[in-house]
Amino acid sequence: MIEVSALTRVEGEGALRVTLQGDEVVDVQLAIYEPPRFFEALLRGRSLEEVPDITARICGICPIAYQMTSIHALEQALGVTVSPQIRQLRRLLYCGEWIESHGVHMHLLHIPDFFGRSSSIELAQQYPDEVARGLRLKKHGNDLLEVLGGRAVHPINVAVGGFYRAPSKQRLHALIDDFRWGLDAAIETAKWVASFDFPDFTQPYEMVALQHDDEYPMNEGRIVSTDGLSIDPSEYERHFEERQVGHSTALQAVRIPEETSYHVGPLARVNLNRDKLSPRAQQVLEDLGVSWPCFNPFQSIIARAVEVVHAYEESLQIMMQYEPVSPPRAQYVARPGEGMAATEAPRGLIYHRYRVDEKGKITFAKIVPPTSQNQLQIESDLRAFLPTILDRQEDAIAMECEKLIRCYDPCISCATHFLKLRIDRQ
Amino acid sequence: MTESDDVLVVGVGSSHGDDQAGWLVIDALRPQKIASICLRKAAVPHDLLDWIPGVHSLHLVDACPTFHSVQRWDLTKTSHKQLGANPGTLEPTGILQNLRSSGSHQISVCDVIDLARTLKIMPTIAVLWAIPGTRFQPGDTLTDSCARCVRIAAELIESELRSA
Repeated sequence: MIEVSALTRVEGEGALRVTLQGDEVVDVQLAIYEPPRFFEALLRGRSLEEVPDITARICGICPIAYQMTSIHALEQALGVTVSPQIRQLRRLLYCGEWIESHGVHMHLLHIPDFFGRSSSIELAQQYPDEVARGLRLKKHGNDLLEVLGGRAVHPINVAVGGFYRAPSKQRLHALIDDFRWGLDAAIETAKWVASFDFPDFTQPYEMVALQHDDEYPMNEGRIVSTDGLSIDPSEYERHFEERQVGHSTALQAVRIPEETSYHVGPLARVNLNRDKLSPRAQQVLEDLGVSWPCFNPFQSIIARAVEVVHAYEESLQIMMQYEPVSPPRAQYVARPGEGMAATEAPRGLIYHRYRVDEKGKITFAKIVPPTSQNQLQIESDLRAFLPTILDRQEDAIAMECEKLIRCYDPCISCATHFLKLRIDRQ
Repeated sequence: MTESDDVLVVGVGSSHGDDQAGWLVIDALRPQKIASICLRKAAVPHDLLDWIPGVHSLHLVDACPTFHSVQRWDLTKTSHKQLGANPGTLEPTGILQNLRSSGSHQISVCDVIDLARTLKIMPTIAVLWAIPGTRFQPGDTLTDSCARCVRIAAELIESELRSA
């Protein structure tokens, strides 16, 4: 048995247990031992206005995705329609979160793997300018979230119907010079990342993401897949199901009725929506020389890097055209209802469903994060990947397994409604 | 930042139980209107990297389950071995590894300090304040003992900043 008892350089705590019979991989278990979070239960009985604030606390790295998915679902339940200007500000919010989250993952968690470095500190010793550049990109994402969200930590300015206060033109325009620099820096980062050595490993994934007729998907669209799925988010639970597994406190999601794994995240988004990337992002994608669609999980970092280019370019477009929104928030009246929504968190598709009573209180909440949707796919990847590395020493095998898991940028503490790899040789 | 960049005080935490300690210290310091300081709340340690370039003095406040009274360390004088284990591991051998924000939930305070040193952006003065806590789960409220330690820590930090 190969065991990685605590995954490092991922957000959360998890372990990996592999059972071998000779050279055959008999079983792979990604064990998440985070205590279950009970947020779905915490929300019951709370007023709908409290939901964005509470769901933002599920994750310190991607609060926007949780807030906004809850808001979209509640707006569906209440029959709320927002103005195009509010819609644009929401996309700007997602741009900020993608820049911040992708920047952190790439430079502090994932890139060290491609240089055989155990940490971002070691990477910074070899590439100080590149790491400093990455940290500056991350700061830009947080600066944008602070302007739009009221603060970068668990934003407080987003609400059902829009925003409590529209940002001033002056504050948004103050970011433009930084974002112009950031766009060029993001392009350089994408070129650097695409030059890395990638293991030759592909899987026949069913990739799942949002898709929109007019834009690169962030917070609206149909749910589509590389296997031909195309559904409204309200049909999500007819095609996907979360299940408990004995070895993990995190739920695992499967496609139903096939009971198969699937892949969400930047690689899925780029594969399914390349034509909707911004002009500079599309140009970068073409120049990088990667063949698309891409089914190599190790090259997900390229997809992340290209999405950062897109996020900068779209942010600049929105900020330069911005005029203060008035009113910043659409009005609504509490009524009983049910709403569902799906948006694209940095790590992939996220789905929420809520039921609201006549007093505006939550009577039911369901939250499906991207990482729980990728759990089974990660185990499947490892099952296919391990035979290619079993000739190595166990600590080297453990390291390679960690690298594969990190490709998914798992946000483990979100996925529970560190990697110790244990190998059992039978 | 609207305040001066000379001194930065950062409270790291979350809204869960005693993990609020770092944020509550910031709330307690804000009304004192101490000149030339910037007060910040962080949910994740790596946000420090956004704010410390150009800062002369850093005070970092976080909850910690290990101790029973408020602790203070000079991060510029404490050895790496005392501060934390080898980068990239989870071995809780050092002070920083026991902080609430230094679980595997995110990039640890230890790694953030090391990275800041490597990139040569570490402030000249860097002090860590650890506030004892016992309850940290979603839905937990702040314990009375932690609330007392928050007040003590805020008074100690204020006294140190005013005498600097």
